[in-house]
Amino acid sequence: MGILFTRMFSSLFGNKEARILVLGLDNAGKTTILYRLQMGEVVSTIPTIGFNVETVQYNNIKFQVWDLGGQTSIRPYWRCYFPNTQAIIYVVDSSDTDRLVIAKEEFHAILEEEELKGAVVLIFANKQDLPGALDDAAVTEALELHKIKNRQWAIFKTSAIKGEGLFEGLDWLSNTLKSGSG
Amino acid sequence: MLRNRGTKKELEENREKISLQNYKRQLLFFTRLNGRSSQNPAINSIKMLTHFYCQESGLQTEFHVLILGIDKAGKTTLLEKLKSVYSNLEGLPPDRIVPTVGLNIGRIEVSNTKLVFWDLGGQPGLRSIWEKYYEEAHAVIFVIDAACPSRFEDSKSALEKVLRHEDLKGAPLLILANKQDLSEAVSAEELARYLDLKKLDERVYMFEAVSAFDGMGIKEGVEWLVEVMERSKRTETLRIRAGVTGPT
Repeated sequence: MGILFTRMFSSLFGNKEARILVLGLDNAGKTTILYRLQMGEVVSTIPTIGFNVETVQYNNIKFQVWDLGGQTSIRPYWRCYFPNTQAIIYVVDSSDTDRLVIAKEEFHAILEEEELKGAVVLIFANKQDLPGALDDAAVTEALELHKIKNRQWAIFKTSAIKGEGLFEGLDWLSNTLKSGSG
Repeated sequence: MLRNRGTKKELEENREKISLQNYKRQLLFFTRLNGRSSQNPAINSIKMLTHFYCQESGLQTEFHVLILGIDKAGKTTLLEKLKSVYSNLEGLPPDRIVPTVGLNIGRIEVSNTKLVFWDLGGQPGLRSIWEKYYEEAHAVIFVIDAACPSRFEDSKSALEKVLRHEDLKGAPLLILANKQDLSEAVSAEELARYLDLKKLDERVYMFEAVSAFDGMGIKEGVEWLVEVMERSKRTETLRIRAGVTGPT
């Protein structure tokens, strides 16, 4: 009852909550993005084994952001976190062109998941500060984003180190989640 | 060997499968029939029946409409307006709309016809993905900012490229002279004269003056589109293709 009341209360005042998963290969920059969003600073990170979770309040939406470890051996555990997810942020290291094929395969495998059918997809073409980083159009091509035809998606060029593009992405997310048509 | 007969559940599933196959065959037959224009009253009455049959069955076609145009033409504003005009969804107010870098989707229903709109980003680098959506599109809405003559040339060449594409053959085209709420906007006729499109001859098309901002002209445009899509040969082709190779 209490929970119901809180929900009604927050929906009255435009406060929404959204559960977001941050996924991507190891070393894509997921943890750096999470803490850049949450604290506005660059933290030094170590490879995540397991997950980090933080709440980010933005545009009247409380984003509960889950950053899951990206190494090959622990990717199978991602699915434990899939239920009740409204959005996926898929992070790609745009300068790691050798592994874009793997990034693409993992990405499309995620989209197949029944429990994520209703989730909208935001792609961060990260590490734009590095030389040789592919731009948004090239990453779109490499990830074959055009195969997505039944859900909304958007791609943003980001640099977690410089703090560029991240909040533009969250703007898109909050608009999309508010218009309620994922 | 007893296993061979299968469980009751399997049998039932099998029966369902068979009836679905039969059903598809019938549907295919009817859709072929529907394509031909006929003087024969008997065939025409079958057509009417089929139409009813398809609608009742829930297997009724969902039309895919692509919203294309160069950046800043107002494609997403149009999509949001469509949502608020035709469904209970509120739709984003124009001041909250940011340039699209990806795909926005809107689902609406117009007089019992289901429409799915695909709104794709119009910035030059992103236009390369447009064609990936052509094959499955029933029709195209091409949006032009009628108040910005300096970019007409850009729109013209983008539109000509769209029209040349083999995958969009026979797709009805609605060209919108958008932003009529601005005083400097040119009329649909003027825009048509400026674009001077040569490749339009055989295509079903219409120019319409609209304002995605205040909604002017939108209903007329969409209703025309629904009408021509229902009659278009391309719809029939797409339907047959889906019936033959589709999973369900």
